[in-house]
Amino acid sequence: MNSNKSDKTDAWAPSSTYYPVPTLIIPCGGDADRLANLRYGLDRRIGAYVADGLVRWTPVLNPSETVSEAQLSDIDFFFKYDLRQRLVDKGYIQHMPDADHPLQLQVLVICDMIGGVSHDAVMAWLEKLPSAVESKKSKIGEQAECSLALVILGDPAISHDKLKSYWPRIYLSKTGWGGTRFNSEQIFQTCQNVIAGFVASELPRSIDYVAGKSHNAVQWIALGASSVLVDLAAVRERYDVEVLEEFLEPLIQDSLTENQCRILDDGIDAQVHKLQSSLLIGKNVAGKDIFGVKEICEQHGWDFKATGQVVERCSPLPTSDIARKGFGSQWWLEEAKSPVFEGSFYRKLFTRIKYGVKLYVDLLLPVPLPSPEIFASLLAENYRALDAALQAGLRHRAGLEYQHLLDIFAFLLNRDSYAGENRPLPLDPNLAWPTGLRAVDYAINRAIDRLTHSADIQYAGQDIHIASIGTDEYWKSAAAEDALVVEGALRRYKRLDKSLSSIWGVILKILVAFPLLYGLLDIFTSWPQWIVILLSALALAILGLVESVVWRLQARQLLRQVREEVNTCLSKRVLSLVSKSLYDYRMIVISHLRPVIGSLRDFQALIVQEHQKIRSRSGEIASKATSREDGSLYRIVDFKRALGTEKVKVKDDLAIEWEPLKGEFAHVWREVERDSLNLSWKSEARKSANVEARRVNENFKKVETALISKYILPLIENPASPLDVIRIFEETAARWGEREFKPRFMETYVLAEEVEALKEGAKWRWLFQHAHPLGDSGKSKDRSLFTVILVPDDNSLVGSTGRGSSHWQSDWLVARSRQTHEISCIRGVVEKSCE
Amino acid sequence: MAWIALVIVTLIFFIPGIGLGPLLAAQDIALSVPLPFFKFAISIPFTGPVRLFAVCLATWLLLWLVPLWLERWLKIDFLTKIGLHNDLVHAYRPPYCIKVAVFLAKITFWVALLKAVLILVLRAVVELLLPLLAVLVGPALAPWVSGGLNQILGGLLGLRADWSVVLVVFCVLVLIANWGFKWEQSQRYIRDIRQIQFERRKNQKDIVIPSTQI
Repeated sequence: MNSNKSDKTDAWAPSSTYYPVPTLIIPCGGDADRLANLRYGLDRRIGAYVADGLVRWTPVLNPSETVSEAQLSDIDFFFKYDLRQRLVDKGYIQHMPDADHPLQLQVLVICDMIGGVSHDAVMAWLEKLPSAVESKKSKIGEQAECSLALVILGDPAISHDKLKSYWPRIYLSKTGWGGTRFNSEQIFQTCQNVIAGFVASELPRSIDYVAGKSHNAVQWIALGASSVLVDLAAVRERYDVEVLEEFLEPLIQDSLTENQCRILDDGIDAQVHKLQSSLLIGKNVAGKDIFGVKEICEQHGWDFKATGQVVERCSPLPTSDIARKGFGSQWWLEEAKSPVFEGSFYRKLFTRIKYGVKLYVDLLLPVPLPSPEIFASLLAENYRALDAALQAGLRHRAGLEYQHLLDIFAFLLNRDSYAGENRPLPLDPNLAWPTGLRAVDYAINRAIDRLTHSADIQYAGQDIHIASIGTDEYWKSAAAEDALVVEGALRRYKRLDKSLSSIWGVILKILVAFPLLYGLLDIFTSWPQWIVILLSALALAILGLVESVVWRLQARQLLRQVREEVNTCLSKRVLSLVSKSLYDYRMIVISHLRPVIGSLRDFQALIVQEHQKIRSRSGEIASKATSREDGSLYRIVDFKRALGTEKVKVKDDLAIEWEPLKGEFAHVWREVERDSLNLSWKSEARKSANVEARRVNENFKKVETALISKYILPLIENPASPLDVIRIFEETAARWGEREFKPRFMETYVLAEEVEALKEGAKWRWLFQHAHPLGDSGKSKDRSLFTVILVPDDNSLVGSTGRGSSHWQSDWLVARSRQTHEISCIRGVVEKSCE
Repeated sequence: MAWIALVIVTLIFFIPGIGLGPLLAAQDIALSVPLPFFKFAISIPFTGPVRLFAVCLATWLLLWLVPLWLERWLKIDFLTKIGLHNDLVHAYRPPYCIKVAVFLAKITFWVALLKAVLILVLRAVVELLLPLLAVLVGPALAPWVSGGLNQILGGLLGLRADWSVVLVVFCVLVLIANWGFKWEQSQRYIRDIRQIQFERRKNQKDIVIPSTQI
């Protein structure tokens, strides 16, 4: 083996600015899958060039002896004006092609000879291809400099004489330099590196330089190629997933503890009780009186009094139609109230006597009784009107109270989000309320349970039957039934009252007895006549008065019982109306709450599901795409800047530095040289999102607070599909992830220092070793070796890890590449003919 | 109306001190026998009370039956008009007050009857059995027994003799009036029941069920 490489390195210098050449890649072979895999691997590296139109890919399967028009149709594409303009705009080519600057074009033919294609057919096709390209170029009529390069995968076994139109002529065979054996996968991976070098680096020029000016003397060039690259796609994929995980993780909560459940139980029970009680009395909202049950009942002639949920009184008001027209007397309903005894002793005495006399006179006077005939119609009308008023009046109140419940749930969902709405806090902020989706779920369930099982009102320790129907017919029949009850109760009193003689009747009876008693006394005594008259009169008067009073008191007692029964009957009916309205309201509240809980549960399930998906995806990517070696390719997909190396809680000093992340866990990495702790990009994304959230509203301390406020809180008031909310989270995470993703810092040579196998310049050694030339025909006696390092700039060559490294060899050529995240090594053997 | 009539009669004739009853009872009817030389008049005993009874009874009947007839003729209820219908037809409470007059009348009647029987018995004893007793017990005890019996008899006769007669008349009148009152009460009660039944019948609606629905 001859080695004559050193004489050429002095003259070689990489371009200061490298402009790639538009390339048409024509892979041909018999195995479509292998060609597709090659394309797939290349897409992750030069996909942008393909997208921009700099590179076209035209596979030719099982080439025949002729070159068809279709196989070269993509050449037309490069001559399109707008493409050329685009390439100039994007900086791929320096000038628009003109007479002085003809369009540079290269056709790279990859010929897979391993896949069992016919050598003869391939040979014939390869022979005809240059003329077909030339013919195509002439047909287009544009001036262009077109080069044809050939890469044979496998043993060339073809005379290079027939392929002189191709330059360079490269082959990658299974038998490598020094007899090392390679398999087809390694060949294809090397081919991928070679193609990337051809498309995006000065590799063709460096080969030109190495081979010298006499191309014809060169038979074949066997190449080996290796790359260390930052797999941008994999990095981005993992980074995006982990940023989204950062955003969703705060929403994932553990189950509530027993203590938290107890706090919620007590709080919600109290609120539901308060809600139910508050409906019974009026409320002033923003200076406007809004009626409750009490006020509505009073408007319809019912004296309603309640303490909490316990109704103490519900009877007709003395001024109501029922009392005036139905019962005919205020007195019937209301006992004569005891007057206030005040003033001097004599005045008090006088008042007392007057009151006593009035009581007894009232006692002896006849009692006016209600007329049940009109009672039923009065009651029916009253019930109907009261029911309508309760339905209408409570609807507004029910809406207000429901809103209050929603406020509580919103508060429990996220206190900061709620506070951000500038609304008064619905619960005591000093208590340790558990918050989050689980807390809201639990609270809504508890509220539904309480609303379902607790009675709205209690009356004298009795259950109130709920009026199940609300039609006019129902009210009529209910009124008729109540009127019958009233009538039946009154009949008992009337029967007693009818049997009682009035004071005039008693006087008539006693008057006749007076002469008789006088006569008897007169017969048996010898008292003076006036004494006997007085005694007789007095005895009969006392008898009459005492007996009348005794019976009137009994009648009054019965009347009191009757009134109690009537009141109870009417009260129960009215309260059944009230209960019906309150029950309807409860059912409405429950029916509104169920979709809310459904929505939030769906959201919670989706969040959990999404989080699990992300976790498993993250794990999958992590396990698959950690920094790893694939033959001649070293992919760096995990580096500390993006994802961090440890997780710390942001508190104390860290909280001062990263205030927006205070109290959270952040992913950080340590910079040993500076002895500093740095936030990973994914935590930076969250930090920036938090800052943005706070900028929108100072109460929004975290990004999820802002999102909850904007997208999840509305779910409570207007249950909808939570899928959109998940999408919002994904979009927000993607937006902030994009903003904090800094490809400029992803320099391969820097990141390589994080990899044990590549650090401190070992990357050069790795590249050199893995770029072992795949060819050793042994036919040529004049062989020269060369090594080209493809780098995007000189940064990687500086310092102890660059050219100063012990792994660097002085005879290596350095060529410029546009692959900003790759460092490649091309090693070749130039086989020259011995002419 | 029977009881109201009785009350009016009571007020006119039997109120102690001012009633006309004792005056009428004291004036027995004198039977004058015209003789050629002098006028002979005999006062018929007990005719004064009888006349009092007759006058009272007539007044009571007049005061009771005339309004009763007028009620039927005019088809109105005086008791309802004056607000005493319930008191005099349906009321039976307070029970002692309502029954006290009749109760006293019965007692007084029996006391007066007892008094009359005693007087008759004592007179018979004094006038018929006393001479026989003198023979049997001896003349020494006869004046003592006779004196004692006469003293009791004198006592009985002197016991408010004038009022007693009027009282008996009044008792009888009360008992008769009470009978009339009861009769009238039952009549009015029956009439009330009929009226209620009539009203109910009037308010009844005939429900006709079509034969197709039977």
